[in-house]
Amino acid sequence: MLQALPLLSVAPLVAAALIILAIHRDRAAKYIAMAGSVLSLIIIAVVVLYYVGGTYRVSWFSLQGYSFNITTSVLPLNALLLALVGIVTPLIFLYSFGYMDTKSEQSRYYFEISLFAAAMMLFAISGNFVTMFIAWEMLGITSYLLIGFWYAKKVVPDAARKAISTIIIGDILFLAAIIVLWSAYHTLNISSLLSIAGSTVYLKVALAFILVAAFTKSAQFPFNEWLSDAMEGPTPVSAFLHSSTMVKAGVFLIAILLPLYVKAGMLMPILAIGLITAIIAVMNALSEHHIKKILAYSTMEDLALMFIALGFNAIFAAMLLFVVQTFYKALLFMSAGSIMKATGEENIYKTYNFGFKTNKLLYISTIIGVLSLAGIFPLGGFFGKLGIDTSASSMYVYIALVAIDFLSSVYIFRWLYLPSRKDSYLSSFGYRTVPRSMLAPIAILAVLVLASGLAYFMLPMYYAAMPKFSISIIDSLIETVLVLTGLGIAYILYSRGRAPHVDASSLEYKLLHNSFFINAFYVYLLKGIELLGEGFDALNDAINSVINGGAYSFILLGNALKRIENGSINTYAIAFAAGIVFLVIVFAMNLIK
Amino acid sequence: MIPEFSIIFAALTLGIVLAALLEKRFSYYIGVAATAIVLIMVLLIVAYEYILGANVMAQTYAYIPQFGVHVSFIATPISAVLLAMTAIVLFAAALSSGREETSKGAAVLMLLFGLAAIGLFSSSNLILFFIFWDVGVVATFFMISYMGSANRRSAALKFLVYSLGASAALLLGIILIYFGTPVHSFNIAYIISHGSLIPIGIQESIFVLLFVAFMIKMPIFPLHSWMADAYTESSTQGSMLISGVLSKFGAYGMLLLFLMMPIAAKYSTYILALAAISAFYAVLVAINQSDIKRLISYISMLDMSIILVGIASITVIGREGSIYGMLAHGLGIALLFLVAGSIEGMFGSRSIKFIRGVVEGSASTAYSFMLGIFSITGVPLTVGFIADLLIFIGAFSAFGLYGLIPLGAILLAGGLLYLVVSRSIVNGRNGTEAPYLPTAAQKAGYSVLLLFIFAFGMLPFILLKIIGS
Amino acid sequence: MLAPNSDLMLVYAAFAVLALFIASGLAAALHRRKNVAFLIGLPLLAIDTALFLSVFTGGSSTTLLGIFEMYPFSALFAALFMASGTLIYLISYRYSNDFTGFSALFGFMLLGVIGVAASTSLVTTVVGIELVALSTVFMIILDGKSRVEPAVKLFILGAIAISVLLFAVAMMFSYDPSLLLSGFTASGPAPGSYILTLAIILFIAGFSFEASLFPFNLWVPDVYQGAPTNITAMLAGMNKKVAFVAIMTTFFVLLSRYSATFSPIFELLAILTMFFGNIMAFVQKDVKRLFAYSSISQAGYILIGIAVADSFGIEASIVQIAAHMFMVIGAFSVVLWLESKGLRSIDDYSGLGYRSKFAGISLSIFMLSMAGVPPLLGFTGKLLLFSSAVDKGMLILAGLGILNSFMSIYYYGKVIGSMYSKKGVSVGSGKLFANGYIIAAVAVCLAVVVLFGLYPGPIIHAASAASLSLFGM
Repeated sequence: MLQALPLLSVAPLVAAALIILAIHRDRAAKYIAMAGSVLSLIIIAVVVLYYVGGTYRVSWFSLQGYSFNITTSVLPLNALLLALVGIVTPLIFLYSFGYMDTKSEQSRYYFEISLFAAAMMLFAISGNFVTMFIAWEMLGITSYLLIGFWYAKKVVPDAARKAISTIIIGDILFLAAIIVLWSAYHTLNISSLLSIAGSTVYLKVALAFILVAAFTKSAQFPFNEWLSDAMEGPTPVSAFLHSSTMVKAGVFLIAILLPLYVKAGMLMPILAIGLITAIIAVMNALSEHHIKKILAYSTMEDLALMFIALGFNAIFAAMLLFVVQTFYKALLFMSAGSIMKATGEENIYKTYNFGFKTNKLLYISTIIGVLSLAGIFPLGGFFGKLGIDTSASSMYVYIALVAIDFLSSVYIFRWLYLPSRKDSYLSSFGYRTVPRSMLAPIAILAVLVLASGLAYFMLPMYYAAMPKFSISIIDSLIETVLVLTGLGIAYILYSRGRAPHVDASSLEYKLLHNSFFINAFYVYLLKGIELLGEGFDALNDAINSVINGGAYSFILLGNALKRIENGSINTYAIAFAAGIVFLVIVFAMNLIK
Repeated sequence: MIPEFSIIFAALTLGIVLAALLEKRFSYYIGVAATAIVLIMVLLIVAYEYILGANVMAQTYAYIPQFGVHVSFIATPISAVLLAMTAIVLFAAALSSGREETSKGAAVLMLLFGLAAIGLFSSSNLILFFIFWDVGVVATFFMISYMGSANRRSAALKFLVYSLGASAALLLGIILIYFGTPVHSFNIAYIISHGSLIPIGIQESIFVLLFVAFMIKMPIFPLHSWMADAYTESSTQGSMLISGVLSKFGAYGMLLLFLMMPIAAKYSTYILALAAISAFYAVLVAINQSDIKRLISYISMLDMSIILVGIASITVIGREGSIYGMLAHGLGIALLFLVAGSIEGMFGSRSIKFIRGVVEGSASTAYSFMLGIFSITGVPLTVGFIADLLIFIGAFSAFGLYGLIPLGAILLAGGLLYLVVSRSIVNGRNGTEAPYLPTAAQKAGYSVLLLFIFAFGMLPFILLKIIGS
Repeated sequence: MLAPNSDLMLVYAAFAVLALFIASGLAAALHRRKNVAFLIGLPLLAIDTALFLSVFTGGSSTTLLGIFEMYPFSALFAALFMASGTLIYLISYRYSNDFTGFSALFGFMLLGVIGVAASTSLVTTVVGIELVALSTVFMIILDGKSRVEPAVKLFILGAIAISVLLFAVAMMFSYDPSLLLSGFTASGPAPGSYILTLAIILFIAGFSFEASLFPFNLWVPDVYQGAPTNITAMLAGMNKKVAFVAIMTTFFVLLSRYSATFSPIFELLAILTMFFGNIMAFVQKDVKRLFAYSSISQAGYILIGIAVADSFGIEASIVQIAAHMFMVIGAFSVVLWLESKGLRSIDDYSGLGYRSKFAGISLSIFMLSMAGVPPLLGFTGKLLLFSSAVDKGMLILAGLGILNSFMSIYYYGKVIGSMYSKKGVSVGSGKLFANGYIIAAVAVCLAVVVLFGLYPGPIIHAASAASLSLFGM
């Protein structure tokens, strides 16, 4: 039965159940959720340390003699994701203690987020597509609920709807892929599918479906628009969503299926979409004002970089960034949340006085996160970005990648410098009131970010299957110089009081912040669908009237016939005579025949 | 052995008589008690079939001995699932109707409709099938014209006109089958096993007639015009029963038709095309609806089209999927209509433009609506997932990738329904306060339906084992 | 079981009771004793129904006076007519303006009916029909001055029909002076003979008038609407059925050899009649008139079995005749009562279901049965009719019949919908209570329609025996 141990890691599910049963006790909710997450962390630690490689399956239902199972497997990649989720979850919950303190509906929040965590853990350990699809859909739905948590705010319902509308495309395609794969191979077991020989049309179709599904979850072009809107959710949710869960699911899915994509020769689309998305993300991040949305675009970029690495079949590079990004992105989101809480402001141009003096711990931790994201040696981000750069086997792509690195350095330092500007008229008191329950996870994450560079050395120790890339000095130098240049430019532009302001109406903004007009495309697409709907509604009415008219014609006929029934005995007698004549004619015709 | 069928029919008949004779204040309890007994008996039938793998049967007297027609009932694997669906929806409808709101007529008609549905799904011969079909039509007609909203009379007449067309085609088809079979017979099991012996020409006539009849009832484009009016103008319970159960008369018939007439295989590609058109048509028409019940009606039509995809695939899995789809559709749509009814009660309006912030007034209503959407869009662990999975596996193996096209309609429906959620259910801004709240009875109705939506979604092996046997 | 001679005794007894009824009716008419006539007459009719029924179950064949023959076919119809006669007598007591006169005429009317059913020669048939028609005319006139117009219409047009029939009989005389129904088949000319064909045409035209087949039926709605409703019930429930019996005996005994000649004509007439009745019924506002058209369409259905022209078809027709007899008498009984309360049009019926459950439920059931909704008796009849047509390969006839049958639900549905609508009630308001006579008659009709609908075995069996005996099998 120890084989079933990984299943226990979804302890937050139990917590969620407990919370909803004790729904009236808002106070207990957070402790139950926390207990669940800590329990799952312990179980995950045991699983990751001692049970890697184990699989466990239990039959769910069977069809035509083939069994649909709930399968868990803890292969190296699964263990990696599981560990990340396990570590981040309690930190997020702890951060929520402070962040969500004044908000009501605690039990709803902790119910939804526990369910979300459980879904991600289930996703991490799923060994077949059925299990994975369950987790996948749970993720989509719970993220929808979480993004829409503050539904009473004006823009929130639409933001949540945008997310779910995009995600549902992936859900349906995932289902289609499952159907195709099952029909073609009669198995949905991932390890069995990885070992199938040859590439068929159906395999390619299924892989294409899965790829698009992954793009929707990971907010890659052209499904990138929901991610920035999703910032309407509570900040702990954003931190959770963007670090280890949800958006990582897409990358993870492609990563474990990478051998199949190699076999089917389908790496090119992954690379191409990754590049496009990265460019869009960087452009948007440079022009964005919203403190969390900049980070959201940064996440989009990170994910795009991972896809690029996957597109070069460089799984180690992708996974390294996967790991280090988790920590620094969680850290930065938490910092952003703290700044927002301290100042009550979301626009970085209107945020001031964030600095060493106002909150030491927060400031230092944030700088660690920023440096890691920018890619300064020896922080994790450095290794992560370097890995991506070196994986590029094409010169053009390499140039594009280092350019992206440079620009991301600019926007992240912009993100740091703008709030750090001094404004003596504004009070900086808010920074000191950030509660400890929020600072503690930030500090822990800062330590993890500092240590995350070690992942470059540790990952291969655990997972021999991943060929490590070697660090070349030239690459490192190029990167470091570019990052430092970016830092310098950002310092010059943004560290002073009157930083250049990019208006939403300005040309620069329009050039940078257009996501290649994909949003406009969707607007027109929806308009088109609505018009189509109107057209069909009219058609429907027309069909209705045609059929009604057909039925009504009987009534018209009846009214016409009513005229013979005029009550006159003459008419009736004539009709009688006419009847006889009619019969004679009919008989005559019969006889002639 | 417990005589399940006898108890079911006795409970329903007794319920009808008592509800008609006793005072109004007893109506609700009579309805709930009778349907509860039915539900228990049907679950017993399901349990019995799951454990022993044998069909539950009941035979009584000779109805028309000259035609070899007996009044006999059988719970085949297909009927067992539909019986379960019917019993659950009936119970939920009876439970949710509320003590004050249930009139004598409503209770009588609901039980009469239940009698028709249970009878139809367990008929062992086509004459009984036809009889219960027509009783169902009559009960529905009264249900719409007696308990509906403002335009109920025109909706009822429209329903009637379409149903009559369907009944006419059905009756002629049934008579043709009788004289087409080598040993003249109305017995469904016999016809299924000997259908291929009917001459091809007659088979074609039969197929066309019955296909039209069942198409009207499901309904499938272009014979669906009665549906939106009937579903919309009925009372909440009426909508639940009509959309959840009556539409299955058509779907069940369609399934039988494909089993009985081997000629169906010849047309399966065209039928897939029709089903796909119908699915997209339904969802595209739904987009422009502002009446929430009308919108759900078209979503229901979409789901019925998806069920037709499963049937048209003529594969075992597709067929099993369509059976499961009928279960899923029955429970899911009944839930959505119940929720829509509560919302109408809360705001006194069905207009999506007017409904605002349902979640503030009644969180359970809002969440039930969302859970209903999950089932409709095939989210795993709901009953809808198993249905979609099986249907499209069948469709894929029969038609290749073309078989997956109707998934696009489900996608659109999902997007549309979430739009409704964001605009009406959770949008609390610049709206009106809900003057009324849903009753406890309605909430009880939600929980019954949700319980089974998730029970059959999480434990699909129970019914799949029965269907597979 | 009874010995053969006791069968004979039963037949004598049946006719004796009928004679007694006629005598009592005449006596009552002379003394103007309404109550006495009713109290004696009703049991006599009921007893006679039972007697004819036992003659039928006896199953033997008896000839009486050389002009009547009691064999299963005629005995079954005699029993059916007696039963419907009992019901009409029951409802007429309260609502007839001159009940004693009605009683006297009713006796002759019944004699004519039995005469047609048990006829052995064309003379008996034509005389029987004439007796029925004339009695009806006088019954209508007796009801009051306002009834003269329908009576005159019926009388004049009836006279034309009878003369046409007599002309046909005269033509038959040239082939077989005995005018016996049986035996002609052997001596008659080969199919296709012009004189015979003309005779067939005239027979069809004459009987079609009585059986209200299109286009010989334009008088029907006027007379049905104009006549007192108890007479309308009789017209629809008995007079018309008598014509069908005459058609059956004439065409399947006398002219059975020429079925290929007349069957297509009946098919055509059936289709026309069904459509005419239904389409006209769509646009009616008056309930009585609506039922008049509905019974025209029912005549069309009955004709399907005759067009099929085999024992299965006749069996189906007999079941449908029996079914419609009870449905229409029941329905007109309710209409009669409601008319006395001032409710005439469909609009008047608005909200009726709430004012009188009795009227709402019974009318609904009768109308649903007429529309052929299972499991009521009307459905059984139609199922058999359409089956017989399909069996004979007459798919178009069956299809159109089914189509019509379901079309009819539309206007029945309109009435039912009106009865259960909550819109304003136009004529009076408050509860309506029926009297015992109406309730008794309707209860019997309901019982027949529902019970035999649920368990039609016996009635089909009886129809089958009667049909086989008609074909001499």
